[in-house]
Amino acid sequence: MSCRETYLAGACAAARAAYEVAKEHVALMEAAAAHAEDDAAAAAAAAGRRGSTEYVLAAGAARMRAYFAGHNAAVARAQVEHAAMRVRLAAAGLEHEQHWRQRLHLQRLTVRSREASTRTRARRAPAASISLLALSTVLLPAQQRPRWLEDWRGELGALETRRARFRFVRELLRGMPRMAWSLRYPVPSMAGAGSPRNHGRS
Amino acid sequence: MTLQTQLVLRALLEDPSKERYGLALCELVGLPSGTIYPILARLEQLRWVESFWEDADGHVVEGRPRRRYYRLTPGGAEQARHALASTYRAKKSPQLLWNPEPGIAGSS
Repeated sequence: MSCRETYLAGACAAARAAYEVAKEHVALMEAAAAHAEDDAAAAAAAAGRRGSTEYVLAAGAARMRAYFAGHNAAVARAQVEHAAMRVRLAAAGLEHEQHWRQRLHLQRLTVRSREASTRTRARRAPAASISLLALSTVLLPAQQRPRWLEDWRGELGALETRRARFRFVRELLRGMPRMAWSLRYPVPSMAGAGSPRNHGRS
Repeated sequence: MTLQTQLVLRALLEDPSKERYGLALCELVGLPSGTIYPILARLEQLRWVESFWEDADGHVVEGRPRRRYYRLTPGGAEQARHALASTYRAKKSPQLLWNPEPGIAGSS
């Protein structure tokens, strides 16, 4: 293994370790946020009569603590995403190295580095499919678009072949009007679920 | 309840505690994604099905975007069983939608 490959494999491992640490940090911050929420409720309850100055001050201070704890948890979650991105970048670097070494007939990569590369290989959903799906989600209610798009992105990322991805997207596009109907007009019972034709029947 | 919804509910009821992602359900039921997702959305609105994001361990190590998992809620499983049973009963004893009075058609 060349020095550069060693460095990249090390970067992979370091990024993965950073990811693990960030994940633990998130758990800690989320626990702190939950504790702060409980604390806020307890402080407000203990401060006496609702509407009194003590009550307002205690509740305000506790709310502030809870807000900051929530903010810390959000920052920690972003750190996890960042660490995950570093893992992907390091793996991509290793793959790039491998590609060029093979093309230039240089020393072949060892099994270890190749394994490290494939294990952490960033498998991203193809941009064209995602763009098409994003465009079609215009039919869905605005607040629900990101959730479904991320759901489908996850499935697209897991599909290996282009044919499978095409089929998945094509069928989703076909079902998008029905999906929009289901999300926009919820039925009270299962009797009318599944088909727009049955909407409203009990 | 449509036949497709029944198929999805049957697939989920095979193991109600097991969580499944959308693509796995498509393969299990044999229906396209455009049919499965509206049904899942509907079932989720009715709180028969709950969904949650995959744990970060799996997708980060594999280097792919996270997936959303679906699972029947305890109440949903019971309601699904009841709904499927009532659908089955309705199929077993079909009611005539048009009941001609005897003698009218053949009367002269």
